[in-house]
Amino acid sequence: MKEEKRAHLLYNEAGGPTKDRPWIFRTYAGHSNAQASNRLYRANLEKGQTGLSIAFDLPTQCGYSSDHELARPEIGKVGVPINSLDDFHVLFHKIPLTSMNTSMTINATSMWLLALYIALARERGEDISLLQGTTQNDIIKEYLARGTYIFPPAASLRLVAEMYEYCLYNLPHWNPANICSYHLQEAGATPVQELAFALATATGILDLIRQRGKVKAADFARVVGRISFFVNSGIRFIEEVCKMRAFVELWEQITSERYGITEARYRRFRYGVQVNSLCLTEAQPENNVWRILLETLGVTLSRKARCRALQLPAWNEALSLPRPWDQQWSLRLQQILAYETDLLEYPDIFDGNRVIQSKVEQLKSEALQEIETIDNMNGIREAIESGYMKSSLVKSMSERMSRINSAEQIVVGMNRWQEGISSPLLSGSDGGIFTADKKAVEETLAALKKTLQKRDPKRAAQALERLSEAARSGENMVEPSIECALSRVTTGEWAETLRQVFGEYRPLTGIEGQKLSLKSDRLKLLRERTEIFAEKYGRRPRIIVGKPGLDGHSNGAEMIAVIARHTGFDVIYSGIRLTPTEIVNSALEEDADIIGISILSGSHIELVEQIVEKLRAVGAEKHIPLVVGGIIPRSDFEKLKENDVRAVFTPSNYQLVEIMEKILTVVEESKT
Amino acid sequence: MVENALSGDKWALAKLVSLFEDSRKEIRETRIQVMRAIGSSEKRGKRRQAHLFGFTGAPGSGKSTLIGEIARRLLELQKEKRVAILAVDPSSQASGGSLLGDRTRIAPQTNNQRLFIRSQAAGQQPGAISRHTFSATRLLRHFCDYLLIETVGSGQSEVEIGDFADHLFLLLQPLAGDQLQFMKAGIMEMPDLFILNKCDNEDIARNSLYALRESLSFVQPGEDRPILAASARSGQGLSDLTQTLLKMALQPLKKSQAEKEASYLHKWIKDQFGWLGIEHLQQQFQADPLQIAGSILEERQTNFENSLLEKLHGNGKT
Repeated sequence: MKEEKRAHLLYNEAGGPTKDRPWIFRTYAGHSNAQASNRLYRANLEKGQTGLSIAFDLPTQCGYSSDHELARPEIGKVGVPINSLDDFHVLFHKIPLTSMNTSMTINATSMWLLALYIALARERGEDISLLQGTTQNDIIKEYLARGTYIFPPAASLRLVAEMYEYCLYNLPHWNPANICSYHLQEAGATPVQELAFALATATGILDLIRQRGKVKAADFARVVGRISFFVNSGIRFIEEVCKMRAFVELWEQITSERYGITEARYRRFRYGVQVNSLCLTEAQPENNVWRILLETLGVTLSRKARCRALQLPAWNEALSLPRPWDQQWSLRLQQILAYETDLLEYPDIFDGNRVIQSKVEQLKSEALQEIETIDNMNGIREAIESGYMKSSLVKSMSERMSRINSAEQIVVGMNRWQEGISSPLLSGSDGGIFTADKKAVEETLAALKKTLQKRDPKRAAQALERLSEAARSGENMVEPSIECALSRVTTGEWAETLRQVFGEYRPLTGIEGQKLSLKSDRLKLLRERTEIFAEKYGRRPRIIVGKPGLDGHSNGAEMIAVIARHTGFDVIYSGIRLTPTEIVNSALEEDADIIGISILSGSHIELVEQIVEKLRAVGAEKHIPLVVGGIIPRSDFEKLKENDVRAVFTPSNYQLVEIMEKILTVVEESKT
Repeated sequence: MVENALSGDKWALAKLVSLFEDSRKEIRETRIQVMRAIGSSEKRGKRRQAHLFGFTGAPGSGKSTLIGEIARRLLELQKEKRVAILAVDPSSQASGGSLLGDRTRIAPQTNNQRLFIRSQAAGQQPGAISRHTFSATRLLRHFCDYLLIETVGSGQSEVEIGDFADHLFLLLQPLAGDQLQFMKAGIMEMPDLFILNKCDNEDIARNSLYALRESLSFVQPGEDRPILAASARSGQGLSDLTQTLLKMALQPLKKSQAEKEASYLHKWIKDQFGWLGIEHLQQQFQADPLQIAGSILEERQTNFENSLLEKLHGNGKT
């Protein structure tokens, strides 16, 4: 899709309004293994999807091959596992590359996946300069909200810059990165924070590229034009319309003032969006369909601020990963909105509107202030490393949780109007949720083994050596990565090579000093209970809170850590990406009274089994009870109880004080 | 349990540490038994008596990461030695709870058998080091060769940790202005070594180094306290620091364990019994806690209490 043909002209030669072309319909998809995902993509394309949005599993996102210890419980759960170029051949079987628009949600390992895509095109004899699509590659929000980073910020920014430099001259239709504010909103960011953090990230990257000087001055405008965004659209859709208009206007301002870009087409705010999933509930999940529809309005109503591509979550997001049918239902919403309504036939309907304009001005000015704060901190890298951005998000999230807990913010079906007829949508034989196919895991591992056996080990070793050299010398790593791909290097090997050079990053948790403004009699009683416990046992109850496995969505765990402290517990917050061994080791060394783990990736059964096994090995399973929180389908509760899990908390348990009451009860019971 | 802990069982050791953090009075007797068991075990076999290294500094000065690096190096250089780390964090005054997040920064993703990491909440008492930090160290020193203690520098805690750490290191960051804060609290005199951490940027580091030397010469003219520039991230200065620690560990202790316990007992008597207790200590024990009968600290506590109660009852009678 060329920039120039984009229908921003309001009126045609005949004087009539031009019809806008619809955005790209995507569904974020991928699961189990490459074959299954390939079938899913082909089916979705036939149903009318017009672009691909690939979900990769956590090991692939975090740079581990499927045969790594950390990878085992996570293979194929949240997306498709990709270990080598062979897997990519299967994934894109019968899908033409040069006529497809492919968005890959991949961040730390973006360069690797792009290298694989390019290598695939080369082996197929397709012209790589025609490749269209996006690698999300937004490392910033990984540190703040999503947790699939690998390397420290400086190295990550370098990887992003190199991809821009490479793509500018080799893949002109590729978006090397999407600056993401989507995840920030999911982590609790306010509209102003979304605006400011996203725009500050974009300028951070552009400043770095300019500084590096690898792009000719004459070409810099095109780099600016290649910056694209991935945003969120929440339920307060009027404000969201204003936010999107603010984005458009601010970007226009920034590109012309900060970078001196004169051509209008390079100053356009280009963005894709997935609508907010944070507010989708587990209780009365059928209501989520309405929520998704309303959230879509924020990014489609205003023509000048309309999205380029739209992804919708499924109604059952809070229950588990969606099934194909659930995704189809969401896709239909997009098609109906685009083709049955008259939405696309009008020019912008908000231009000249005083109410909208004043809100936009307000958002703009607050965002600019926040951006200035970040600028004064020496930019985005410092804002991340100092923990400033993360703490701001945790604060917003705490405030949101406090408001929902106190019912100041209403969530229908959850803290108001909870009584109702139960949903027929959940009564199907699969309970309305997706279950991963165990056989698929075995197939993936077998395919990986085959690749390793068949490849030329010398060529692979040389390719890795070359990559390592480039990493150390500062040379662009894309071509060396492509050579790695062609010689059947695996994902884990690529990432490990770079880990050796750049190191692995452990950021600040952002929860130090956070408070919850929860004051209630119930909290007071709970604190008293904790005091009584302290007197009885000579010390405060000690809880280990952490996330095993590769899932990095830490908000839930963070909230529990904060409320536990608020209640009077001593909390050993262990962060993310822990192995079961580490969790158990911590529990033993700290003489913990209870372990609380949080898992959103669907691998809870395996991880719990591993943890319990290790506790049993030292005879601690009766002394250190285990509770689990996260995205856990009800049908799995029984299996967890069999494994000695004393309590399970899902998004429907949003009452933090209630959760802590239960946790304290579990601790007290285990002492008797 | 003591035997298991001595042979390396971490859970057994953890439970012992909990005993020494336990605030209940009944547990005192158990502690005495534990100390006796340790004593007899040591007579029979190997004796470990760790040197205590205290690391303090403002939040964000990089203590955890630095300590982790030092521990790693110590363990690598000395394959038969054990290292224990005690990380103390403040407790919330409002709820009494605490957020203890240091262990992930200290030793990310290692499960070394010879490394024991324990987090501790300072408690709601004023001052960041509570009584049970000293108590925990009394136990831990028998189970490791190097005991590294990390605390938040609130100004007052350095004085307390200085009381029982064998060596004290103060971590400062470039450009943070910490030195002023510490000067005001009278802390600058105490540390054995100043570590200027996060020296990745050479220019900033150099300037801060000069500024620090200036402040020090102002506070203590003539004395030459060593300053080490380090960066936990780049590794700069770390092998020097490790070597310094190893050398310090070979030196004789400035304060014997007995003297440390005497100091502790003195504070304990004042906390528990106020001036009445101090008076009694002066009258009955020549103001020297070591004169109180007993070889184990808890025995002395019990004996002191009995002695004081006796005196009070005696006074009551007349």
